[in-house]
Amino acid sequence: MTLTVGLSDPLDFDSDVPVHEQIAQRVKFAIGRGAFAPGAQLPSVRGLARDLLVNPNTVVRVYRRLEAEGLIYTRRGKGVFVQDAAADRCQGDGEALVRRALRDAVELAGRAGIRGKELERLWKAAKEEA
Amino acid sequence: MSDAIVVQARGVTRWFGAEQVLKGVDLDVPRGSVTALLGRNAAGKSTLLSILAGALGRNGGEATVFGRDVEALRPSDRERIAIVGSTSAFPGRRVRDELTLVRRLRAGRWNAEREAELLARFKLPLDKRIQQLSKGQQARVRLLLALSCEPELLLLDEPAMGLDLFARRDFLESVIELVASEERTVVIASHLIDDVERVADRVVFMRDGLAEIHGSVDELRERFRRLRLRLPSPERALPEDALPAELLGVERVLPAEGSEQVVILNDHSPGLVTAIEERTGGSQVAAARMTLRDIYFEVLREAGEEVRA
Repeated sequence: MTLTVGLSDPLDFDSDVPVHEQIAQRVKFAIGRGAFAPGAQLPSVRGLARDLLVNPNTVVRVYRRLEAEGLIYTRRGKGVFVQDAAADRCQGDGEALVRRALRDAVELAGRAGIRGKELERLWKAAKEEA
Repeated sequence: MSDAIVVQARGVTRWFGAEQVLKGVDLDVPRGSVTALLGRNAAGKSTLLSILAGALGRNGGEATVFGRDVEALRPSDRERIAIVGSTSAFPGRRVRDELTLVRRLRAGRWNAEREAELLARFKLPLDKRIQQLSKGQQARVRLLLALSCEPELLLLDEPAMGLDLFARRDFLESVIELVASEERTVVIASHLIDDVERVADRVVFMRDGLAEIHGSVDELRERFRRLRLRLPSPERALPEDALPAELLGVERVLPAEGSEQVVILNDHSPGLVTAIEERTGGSQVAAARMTLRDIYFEVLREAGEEVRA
């Protein structure tokens, strides 16, 4: 999952990452990169469920979780909105995700017997390829 | 029985002549859930749905809807249930006449606003006979009738059978909208994983007249794993057929690949992995999660059948 994936981009049902987690991540990334400013309204449960073709209960769960994390808030009858301090924290989540991916890559390298200078070389090559 | 369970079955059996189609089915459908009843053709899905809808008798066991025995439902209870199949009951009827009839039968709960909204969206030709419509349009008629009844419980029996991919998508969107409105409960019987993987929050697998494997999608993905083992030598591999009784939670043992072997677990736990490691003298390389699609193929395959999609 990349950090630029849009809210309504197709979900990956064959991924190891559960669908609700995929949706939660992409809401966070969208907030983190400023696609939804503080106070901005997020898509409705119904709208997002239709766009993603998923069970609305799944979207409800995601929004509930993000609300519990203090990233969004609900105004009854109005919709779901972005909390003021959410953007910074969502960027932090993006960083954590990248850190985890890098750690996994280092682990994988270790198992393949790739260390030190060899690993540095791969890291540089990856940056040039991206 | 709690109010949160809308449909409950305990040990439901049904015979057709000398053949037992249902061998003691247990089922719990929580309010507001979308439960997928997955099984291959002739697994007993339709029989179960017909019994739950009160349209077919059972030979044994308990079956309740809204806390009442399905054979003792009052007319006011029946109005809260709609069942949609893959064919229309009166194909010779004109769409307009079918609408008028059902509107009258279901007057108590009929939602004229929804009817108008769906009519506009589906663009149904009112003056045509149902059998003159495309399969997709016929399915829309059935769906429109069921949704306008404002059912609390919607039973869908292979609803998308014979529809092309666009009509399926359309159908799926309608189901999604239906669930979005309030605490509605949906049971979808299907032999196609594609119809349900997006909307189901609970899955029940039916095989051999039983519904033994069931749970929320997350639970099932937690429990089912492809365990890859490294064996001390190929001879220590687990036998593919006769599984020792203490290895409860193993779905299937695959043939060894050199000194590695894959074991499909249907109830993953650290204890089970340890038991397998002790048995073989091997060690876990990975215990990968499976997609719902892969679980579907594992559970519903028949012996010797190729399972990779």
